[in-house]
Amino acid sequence: MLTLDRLSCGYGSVQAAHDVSLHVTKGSIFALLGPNGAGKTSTIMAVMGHIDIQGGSILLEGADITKRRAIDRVRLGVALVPEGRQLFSDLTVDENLTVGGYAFPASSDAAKRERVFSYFPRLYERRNQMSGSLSGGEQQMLAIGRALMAEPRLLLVDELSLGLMPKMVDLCLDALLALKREGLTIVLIEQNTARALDVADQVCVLSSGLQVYQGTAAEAKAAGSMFAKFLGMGDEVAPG
Amino acid sequence: MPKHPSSAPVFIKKAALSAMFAISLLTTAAMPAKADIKIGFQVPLTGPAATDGKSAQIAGQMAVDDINAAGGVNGEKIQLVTYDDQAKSDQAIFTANKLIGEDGVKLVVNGSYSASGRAAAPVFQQAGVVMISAYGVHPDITKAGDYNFRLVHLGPPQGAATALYIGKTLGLKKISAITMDNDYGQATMDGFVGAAPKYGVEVLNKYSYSLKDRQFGSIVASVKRDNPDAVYATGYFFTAGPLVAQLRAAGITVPIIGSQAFDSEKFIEIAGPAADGTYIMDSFDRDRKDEKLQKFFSGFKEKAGYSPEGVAAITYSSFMLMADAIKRAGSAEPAKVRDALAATKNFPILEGTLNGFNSLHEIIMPISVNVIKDGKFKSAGMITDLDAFAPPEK
Amino acid sequence: MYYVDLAVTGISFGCMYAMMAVGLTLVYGLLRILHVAHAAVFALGAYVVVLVANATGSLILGFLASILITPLFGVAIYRLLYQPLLKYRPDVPMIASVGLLVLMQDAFRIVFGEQGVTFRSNPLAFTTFNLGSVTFNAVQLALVISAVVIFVGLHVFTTRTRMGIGWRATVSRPQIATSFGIDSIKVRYLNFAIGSALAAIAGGLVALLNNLVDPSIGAVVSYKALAIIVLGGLGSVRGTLIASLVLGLVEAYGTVFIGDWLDRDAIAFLALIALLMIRPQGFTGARTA
Ligand SMILES: Nc1ncnc2c1ncn2[C@@H]1O[C@H](COP(=O)(O)OP(=O)(O)OP(=O)(O)O)[C@@H](O)[C@H]1O
Ligand SMILES: [Mg+2]
Repeated sequence: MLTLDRLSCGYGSVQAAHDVSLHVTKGSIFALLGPNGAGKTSTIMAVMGHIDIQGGSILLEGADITKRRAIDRVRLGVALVPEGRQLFSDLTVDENLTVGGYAFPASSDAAKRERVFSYFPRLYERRNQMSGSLSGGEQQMLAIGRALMAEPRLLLVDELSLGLMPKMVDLCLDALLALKREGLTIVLIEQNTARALDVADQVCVLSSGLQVYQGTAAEAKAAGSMFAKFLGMGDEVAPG
Repeated sequence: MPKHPSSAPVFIKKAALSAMFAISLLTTAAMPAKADIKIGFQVPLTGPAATDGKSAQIAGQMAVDDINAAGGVNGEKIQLVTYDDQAKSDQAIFTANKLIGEDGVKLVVNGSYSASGRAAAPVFQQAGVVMISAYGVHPDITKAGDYNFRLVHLGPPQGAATALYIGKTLGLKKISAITMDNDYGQATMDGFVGAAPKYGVEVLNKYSYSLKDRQFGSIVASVKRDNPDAVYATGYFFTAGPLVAQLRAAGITVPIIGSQAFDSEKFIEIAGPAADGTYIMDSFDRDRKDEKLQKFFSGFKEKAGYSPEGVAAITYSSFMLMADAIKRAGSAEPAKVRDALAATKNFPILEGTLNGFNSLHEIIMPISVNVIKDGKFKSAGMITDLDAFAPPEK
Repeated sequence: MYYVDLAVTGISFGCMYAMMAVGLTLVYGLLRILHVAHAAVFALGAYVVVLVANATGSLILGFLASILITPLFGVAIYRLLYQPLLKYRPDVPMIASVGLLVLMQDAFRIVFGEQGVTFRSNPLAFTTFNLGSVTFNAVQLALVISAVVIFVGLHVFTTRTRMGIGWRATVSRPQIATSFGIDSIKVRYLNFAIGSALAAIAGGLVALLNNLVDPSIGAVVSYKALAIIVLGGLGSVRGTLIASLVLGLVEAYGTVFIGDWLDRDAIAFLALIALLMIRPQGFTGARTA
């Protein structure tokens, strides 16, 4: 589904990710892990088209989208659940969903909305409420719902569990698993490694912008503390 | 002696050369004195005062052309040296120094606003240069010293004359007073309020507005509540136009009496039909049967494309007065011109007859009043009781 | 009814300020620029109304022309002045904006004359309605009606249409809005076009009320509008509306009670300073992020 080929990206002269190569298979959940500042967010923002690509390429189902404008990527089937949710806080729940489906005909809105509400009935109850006044969990549901309105083939989820109660994390992860069963491909960035390995098929660990581990979730789990070391690793390991 | 046969011719040649040089020196030195009397002229040609500045400039040039066409003064032509002072004090001081230092000017007409005249007056005083301020109304202008003259009434005398006119001539007693909140407006209003009781005029309420304002809704509402016999307002045409229009639009039909700076065709244009019935104090009488005035009127209109307003007329008059003073002094020497100006008696200017100057070199002259009828300025009499609005003395 | 008369005056001022200031609020909300040159847009709007109305004899054509031409100017300001400067600190485009305002004032002076232009025929300014003992001027009424129609329309547009919702989303989070396919450049154009059209209407109505458009027509409203958007809590349209009405009323009543020694502008700024001391975050709270 998604292939990154020696992708380097960053901000001006700062390089946030260096030579990242990975492949996400269709219909799988791919966990992108790593310590703070590792370059996870930067990598998926590069896929979304929001930061400078300094080298390498991004392929979506074999098609090179490296040079496509951010605004066009949603129509190619990529949707984002951004870090910290980033809802349109002075828009209502309904309006946030409308924006989610902005790139697609209004006529398809109603059906998609139904689908979102079927995953997250809470949102239906709150549909006329300002999104800024939702609880953290509800906000995360809305962020996912908003992305679903964009009819994605590839869903990029950044820090799903951040600041959520365990119950809410369960609910959201269940939703992601259900979506996966429906054939959606998901890249998931998570701080909670255990939960991520539970749901993921493949894992990649970034550290200081470099890819330090890649494998299946089962392998990672089996490696146990060895694997945990990668996540704990700081700058001292980073080669030059 | 013949040992040096060539020496005599060389000597003669040298003598001839130096004689020629000396003559040429003499003639060049004599040339400007014979040809021209320079009169410096400060006008705001750019910036927000440029409207009045343009009119003043056209009028000033007309005056000089008329003087020169009539043979000049004392056999000499007038040469106009004009500078743009932007109606700003720094620019006024800069151009004043330029006039004195570079151009060697000894006589000046300041055809600009108070800020300019007030800043330039001490500079000219120091240099012993005569200045007539055509329409600068700040008291400091004449206070700078005896070389400075003013050809327009100060605010307080104008205000006092207004009280007389409203109370005695129009017989109106209850007044709502509206003033623009600059020095001139306030001073004029103070003169009015001070003199009002003498003529049985009662000021019901006083309102002030900023010169930048064009919306007078609350003042209009308040005047309506006052229900006065008349409204007295100080202002410029660009505030007066909207003010009068808005007063009339609210159904206020009593006479409106405006200060001198209402005097502009543009006022009538802005206020439209609402302008009718507005009295304008110290406004020059356009209908006066005076050949010079009518000639000035048509000449100005031809040159400028619009009718002259008060500013243009008074600037023209300033040059005429200066020329007359040079003539009476028999010289363009500033001290003599100053004394001649101070001794002016019953000199006819476009506005009427100038009685003369007082000890502070403020004008003594009746005030004429216009009223607007059918969109035209019409004379509404003359206030001749000079004691009622005597300017301050030295 | 004196106090009702004053209220009419204050509300009509307030409506005028609102139509003028909302353009500033929209630009600030989207780009974080103090769009000082909006005053020049307002002035241009006024000039176009007068000139076209005088040329064609139709006031309606004057307004139509202004509503079409003025937004082009507003959009051009964004495209040619702000966009190239967006990469710098926000005070850079603001200084450029001040420069443009000064330049435009001089341009108006040079092109249309120092003395300003007046309507050849302006019956509206002299038409009044009486409701009991309260007098309405036709232009005051037009100011209020336009403001109500415009703000109701704007509300419907921004809450009921996809484009309007997308616009608000862009104001809220430009980058995320782009992720969902909203063209933020088009939103900026739309933003400047709508703000400028509103300023054009306000300018035209003020021109009618004063029966005069002079080069400085925008100057006063410009700094008042800046005061209003600060009071309104920078970037909040609702706050701008409230602040506009409050300022209009404060001016109307203030002129009467302390008008003998302070003029309307001074009163307005005293009120602004006082209100900001009580509520530094403006009327609508802390939306300044
Ligand atoms: N807007 C930016 N400008 C410059 N540098 C940035 C910017 N955003 C992030 N960086 C830098 O890029 C590097 C990678 O940041 P990124 O946000 O991708 O990390 P992350 O793995 O998502 O971390 P976290 O777990 O804290 O979210 C960091 O060193 C960070 O300081
Ligand atoms: Mg991150």
